[in-house]
Amino acid sequence: AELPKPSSLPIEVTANQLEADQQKRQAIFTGDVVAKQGDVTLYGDKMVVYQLDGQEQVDRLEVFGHVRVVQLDRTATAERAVYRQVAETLTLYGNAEVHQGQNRVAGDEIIVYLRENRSLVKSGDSGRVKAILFPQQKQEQQ
Amino acid sequence: ADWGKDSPLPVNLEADELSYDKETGRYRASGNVQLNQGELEVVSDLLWWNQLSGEIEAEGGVQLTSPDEKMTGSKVSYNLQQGTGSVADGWLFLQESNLHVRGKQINRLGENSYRVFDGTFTTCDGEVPSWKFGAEQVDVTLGGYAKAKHTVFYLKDIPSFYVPYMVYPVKTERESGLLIPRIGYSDKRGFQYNGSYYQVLGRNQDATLLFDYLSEMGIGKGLEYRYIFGKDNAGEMRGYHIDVDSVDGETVDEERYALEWQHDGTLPGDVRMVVDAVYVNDEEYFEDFGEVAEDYNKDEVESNFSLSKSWGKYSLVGDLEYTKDLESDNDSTLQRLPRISFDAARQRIGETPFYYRLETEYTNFRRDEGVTGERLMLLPTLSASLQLFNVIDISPKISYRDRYYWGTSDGYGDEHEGLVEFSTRVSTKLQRVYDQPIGSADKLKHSLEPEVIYYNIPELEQNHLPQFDTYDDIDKENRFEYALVQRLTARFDQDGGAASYRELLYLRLSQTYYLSADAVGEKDSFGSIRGQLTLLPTTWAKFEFDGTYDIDLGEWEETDVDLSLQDQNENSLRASYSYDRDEELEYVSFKLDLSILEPFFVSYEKRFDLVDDESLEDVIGVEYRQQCWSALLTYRENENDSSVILSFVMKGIGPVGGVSGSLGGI
Amino acid sequence: CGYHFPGKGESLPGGVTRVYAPLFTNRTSEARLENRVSNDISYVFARNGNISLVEDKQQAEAILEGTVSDYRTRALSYDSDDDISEYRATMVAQVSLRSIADGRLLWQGSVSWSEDYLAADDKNLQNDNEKEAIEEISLRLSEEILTRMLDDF
Repeated sequence: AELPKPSSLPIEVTANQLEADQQKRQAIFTGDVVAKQGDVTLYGDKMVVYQLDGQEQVDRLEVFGHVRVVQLDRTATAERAVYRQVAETLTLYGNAEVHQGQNRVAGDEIIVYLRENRSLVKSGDSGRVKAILFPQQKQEQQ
Repeated sequence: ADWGKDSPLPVNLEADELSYDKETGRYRASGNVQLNQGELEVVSDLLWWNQLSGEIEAEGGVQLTSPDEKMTGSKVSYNLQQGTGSVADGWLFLQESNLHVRGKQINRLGENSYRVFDGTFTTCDGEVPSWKFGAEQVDVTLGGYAKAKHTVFYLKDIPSFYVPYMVYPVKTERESGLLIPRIGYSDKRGFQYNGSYYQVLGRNQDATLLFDYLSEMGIGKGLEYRYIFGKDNAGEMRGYHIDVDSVDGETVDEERYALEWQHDGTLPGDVRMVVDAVYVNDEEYFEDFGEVAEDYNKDEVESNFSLSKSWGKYSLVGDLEYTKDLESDNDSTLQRLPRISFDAARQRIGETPFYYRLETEYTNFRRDEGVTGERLMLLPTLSASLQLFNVIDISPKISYRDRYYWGTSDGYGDEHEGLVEFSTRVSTKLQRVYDQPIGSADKLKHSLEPEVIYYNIPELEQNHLPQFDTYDDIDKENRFEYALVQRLTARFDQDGGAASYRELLYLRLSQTYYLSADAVGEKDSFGSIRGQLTLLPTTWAKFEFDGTYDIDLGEWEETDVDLSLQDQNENSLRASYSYDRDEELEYVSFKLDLSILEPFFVSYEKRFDLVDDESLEDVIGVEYRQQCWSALLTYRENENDSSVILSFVMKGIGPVGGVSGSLGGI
Repeated sequence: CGYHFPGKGESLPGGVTRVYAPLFTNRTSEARLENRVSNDISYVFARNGNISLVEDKQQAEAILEGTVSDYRTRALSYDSDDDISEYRATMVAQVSLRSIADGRLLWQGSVSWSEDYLAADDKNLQNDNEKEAIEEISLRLSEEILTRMLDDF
């Protein structure tokens, strides 16, 4: 499963409530949070945006509760997701699953390396990574 | 199994860790990886799978399993779509034939064919197989053949002999013999070594070369050739030749050969062709080479070639029948060259209770000594089946047997004779069902079927007719044959509702009453009583009796008694007693098979003549049976010969060819 | 005492009465067995009042198909010179009864019968003895097939 590179496009966020905390340089959105960037949409109950010290740039976004990431025919779900701007990775935690057409991959942790077009699915101590994949299906180039 | 070639079945992948590289479209799974696609399962420590090409690379304790084969190895590269790939230090196991193949490298070339490099193959389980073949290169086809180059045969780990090129049939259905010699000694044949070499000639042909060294008799060469052409034309041909130096000590210096052809198939136009021909150039062929009873004392050899075609109830059959009498030289044995018959099977006339039937048979009788000639026989029959109150069945039958003779020798002219044959059968049936369970049977049915048949054939003077078979001198008949058939059938209810039935008892008592003008019995006299009894009290025991009792002299004319007992694990006893007053025959035989001394399977057979109170034959067999091979030691003592033979059976290969010299195996 | 004439009671499986019986198939190397057995089947089945043989398949409720699958002779007994004195001939037939309407299998079974015949110095006589044994086997086999089919108590 693969998600887009966050290019310079702006991130629009809508939520029921926004609470900014200047000294911690955090913005906390709660209630039906929807974050869109390009053709990627991030849904969740609560999202915390962390900014780098002393800069306007976003360090990382963290989404909690019923996390869902949608891009074209691909959706990913998890309990928690962390998007790291610098490393350009999106990590899904807590029975994370990615669906694309009939393909389905599930594990305890899914890391998507956006710049390297690669992703890694890990299982926790007891869990196993499980995937149902269909051969010969071309992956749409993003 | 056909692994996901056409429809791309989904791949279930399970591992501790899975990564995906979109550039190459490859998944990398690690940590006791398990990949399932359709019936295929791949297990390994590490596995790469290319979603586009279907390529798999696996390392670390790799195991590929599918319903009919299992492969393990240290490193495997494999293509799910083509079903091809290769395994390093591989082990391949084919369930159906229990074939173990190990090799430095095993390539799977397609759905059921493999190429093994520097490998071994055997049907023995276990780390150190009792026997195995080692070869630089082996091509194995599942359910087909293993063709090996530069093969060494190992007993345990001892190289025993070398064969430059060899075919080992992985075929499971058919017995076939290979290489392993059969050795023995017999008074008649001296020291005996039989070897056979199995050779595949094509997809549907194979052959076995036979070689026999018989120290007393000479060297025998033989060829067995098997073929399957088209949908259902199959057959076998055998030839054997031996220059016989001496027989029973006298120098003979004769050539002995035997040819045999069996074929069954359908020719275009739906004509069935059957050949069952055996030719021996010397009457004593079987006496000299036959090992088992019924071979060494074979009294005739019959060959038959037939073509038959049917349309609905009509059938046309033409055949050549040649019988060679092995017991005497005066060859008055009739040959039917050819016999052509056209039959209309018994057919009902509309909705009436009447049936008609027509048999026509032309035969050209040939023989060296005795009358020869041609005969056309026509036999139209009209019969009926009437039910009286749906209780009594009356079946009258009348036929006119018309016979024409021409081209006869020995002074018989062209002749024509016909006569009427009449019979009427009256029968009924009484039965009762006993509902209470008895023994293991849930219900029993006892039925009685009395029948009375009246036969009448008028007297006809037929001395002027050439005598070929029973139809050229038909005796007059004026008699009643009556019989009572009793059956006791048990019903066994199985769980799941289906009931199975078994006939516990079949008893038929019959007798003939002769009226005046009957060729056999004087006027108003009773003939002998015949009793036929079959008991099948349990599935493992059977008793049969067939006897004819002469009531005038108060003694048995003829009796045949058979008893057979067998359990599930190859313990069995078969005994039979035969007596015939007029033939001066009183004979008993029994065969005991025991498996209680496993892995030794012992069998003892005895045939005894009670007229002169002498033993005809004793056979003691000891089989040492292992998982993938067995050795069979047979001691045989009879009037014709006494011998000790040691032969080997390699599972998946089957018994090594019998004494091919005698075509005894046929 | 409970014995009765089955008469109406006993019928073929599935209660069919109108039966079409084509010629048997012969898988053995002995020629003409299919004619002999087919004739005896027709002769024996016609005896039962509840069975009506029809020659036209369209009018039949069930079709009776059979194959003579094996015929073999083996030496049964030997005289004091160890020469064969009696043979035992055995014939096996595979038979099936199928409903024509829906092709359902009503009955299927394999029945075998054996008869002994004397060997003879004159091979023509031995041949005739074998032919006679075949005739008796074919008739008894057909009777046994009908009896087994009617076993439905």
